[in-house]
Amino acid sequence: MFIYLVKRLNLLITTLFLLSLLSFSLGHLFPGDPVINFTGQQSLTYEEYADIRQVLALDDSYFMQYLAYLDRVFSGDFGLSFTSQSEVIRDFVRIFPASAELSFYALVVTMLVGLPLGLWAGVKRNSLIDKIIFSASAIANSIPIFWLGLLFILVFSLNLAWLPISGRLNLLYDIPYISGVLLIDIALSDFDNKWPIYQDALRHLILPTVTLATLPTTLLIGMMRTNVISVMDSQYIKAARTKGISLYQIVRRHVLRNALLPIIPQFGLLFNTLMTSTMITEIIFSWPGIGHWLLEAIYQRDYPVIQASLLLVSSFMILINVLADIIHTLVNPLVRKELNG
Amino acid sequence: MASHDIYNEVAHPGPYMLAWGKFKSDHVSWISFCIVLFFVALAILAPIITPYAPLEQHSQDVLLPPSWSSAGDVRFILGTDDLGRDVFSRLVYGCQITFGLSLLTALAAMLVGTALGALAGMSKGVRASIFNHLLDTILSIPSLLLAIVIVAVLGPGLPNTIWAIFLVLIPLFVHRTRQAIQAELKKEYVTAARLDGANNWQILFRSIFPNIVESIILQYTFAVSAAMLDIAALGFLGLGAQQGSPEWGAMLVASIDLIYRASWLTMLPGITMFLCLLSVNAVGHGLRNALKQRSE
Repeated sequence: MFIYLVKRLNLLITTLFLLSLLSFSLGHLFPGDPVINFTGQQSLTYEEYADIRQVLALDDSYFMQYLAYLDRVFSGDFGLSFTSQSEVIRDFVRIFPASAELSFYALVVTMLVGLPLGLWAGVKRNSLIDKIIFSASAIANSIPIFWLGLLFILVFSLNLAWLPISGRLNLLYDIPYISGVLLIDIALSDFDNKWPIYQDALRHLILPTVTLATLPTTLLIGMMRTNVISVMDSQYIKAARTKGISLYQIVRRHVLRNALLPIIPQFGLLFNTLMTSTMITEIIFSWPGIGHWLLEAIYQRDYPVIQASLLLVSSFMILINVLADIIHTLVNPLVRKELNG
Repeated sequence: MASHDIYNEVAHPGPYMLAWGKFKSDHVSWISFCIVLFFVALAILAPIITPYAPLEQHSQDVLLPPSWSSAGDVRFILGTDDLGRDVFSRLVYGCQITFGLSLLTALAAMLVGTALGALAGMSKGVRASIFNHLLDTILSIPSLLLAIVIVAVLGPGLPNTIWAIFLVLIPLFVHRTRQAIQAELKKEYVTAARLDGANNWQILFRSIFPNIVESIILQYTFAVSAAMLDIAALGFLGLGAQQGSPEWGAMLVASIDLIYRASWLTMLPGITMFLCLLSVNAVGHGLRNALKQRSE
């Protein structure tokens, strides 16, 4: 077990090392002066320029430059943004909760819809209901997410006028920024009548959440169905059936747990899909999150922001992937047995 | 039971034909395959089929709805956009860009990725371990994010998008090929070939490749659908094909401003793309089922 943990951590560290190398080389690969690309300070006097060059170790070898870069990364210094001229890491911390909030709700919807449907389809294998669920998820899987978002806007915002098109909250409500998670901020704010504000925030949340949740849900239904089918085929289920245990009991006691376990390592894939979809969803619904920030940076050629967000977002994803792997090993006795031989 | 039909030879289809037969016997896969072929034909024959050039503007006929609505004009079957360009022609040319280029990009990535994967699969020790770590790094970043970064370095535009997607797809093929080769290497027929004195090269080409070709083709269908999604997504985000290009994603993003006035500009490219993606995915799914059934 210990060796396994060391191996995983080794993988994590190597991967992060390669990522930082990539992010470092971006500073040189982007067009323009590396001094400006790394620090984001655009109007420098000659002395300041020479000083910064010294700090960045740009006259030394690439190796020394890389060490200087790592040093800055660990102290949280990603330079200034070209456009806002504020610290990139501060912008990131300010914007991140909005994305995390949206992704979290989408993940909850994915779990609530995907797991039961996948279970149902797997248990009733080859029946009508299985075919309906499976084809529906296959069809939904092929809808490009940017079209789905536009379709929702067209139907629910423009034609039916039920839900707002974009943003997080009606401009009437000026909620002070505290944690960045809107629903928590509303609770913390000192407005008298909070119910309409909650209602408004939730109405803004529905379309982005559903758009975002569609693709991961179809993936989860597929995973869950495959797992359930493979568990249902196993010997111990047959044994339980011959003992006369009802289908409900079998599903609840045996199938559900054993089918959920293999989902954990696949969670990384699910999460990657979710993050990619988040970027597009944020653009469609003008949601002020990381995806919006990154794309805006690309339009503006804001190199420090591109560099930092690549490093931070992908490190975050790798962390989640490795964590999912480790948790899977911790909770799944079968894998542990394999490891210990 | 003895065969009564002693005059005619009993046909024993080879493994490829067996898989093909299984594939064809599934109606959904077969229909999807025909639709994919239809899209390929559209992409190749675009200049012959389309009545107008994709950028030709008809200033008299701006924002005409599709011809089946009462305000439509039969000269423009699927209507026109805000500059009077024929939507049908643009969709067909878009098929050339979004679908045709995905097919080619995925093909190129398949050739390079399979070659690298073979190299990685046959090597052992430190080299293989380094390869693994590199692959894990690249695969852990979602393809669209990686493509966005590559485009950010190279600058926006369709050629750079294609390069980015090409680079993003390669690791998928490397991973798949490497896994398939390592699974085959453990099997006994490879050991038998080795005992006969075959060297690595011969084992790879004579024994292993014929057995993993199908799983590579399967991966190809996934790569095509991923490439289509990424090309269109980058076009939609304004990083790929430039504004005004008949690429499906770029057409969709151009339609946003007119979504209330001309909803067909949003619906038609979306439906076309959905149909194309659905049929490519269904072909991949059918292929996987066919291979699974054959091995059972």
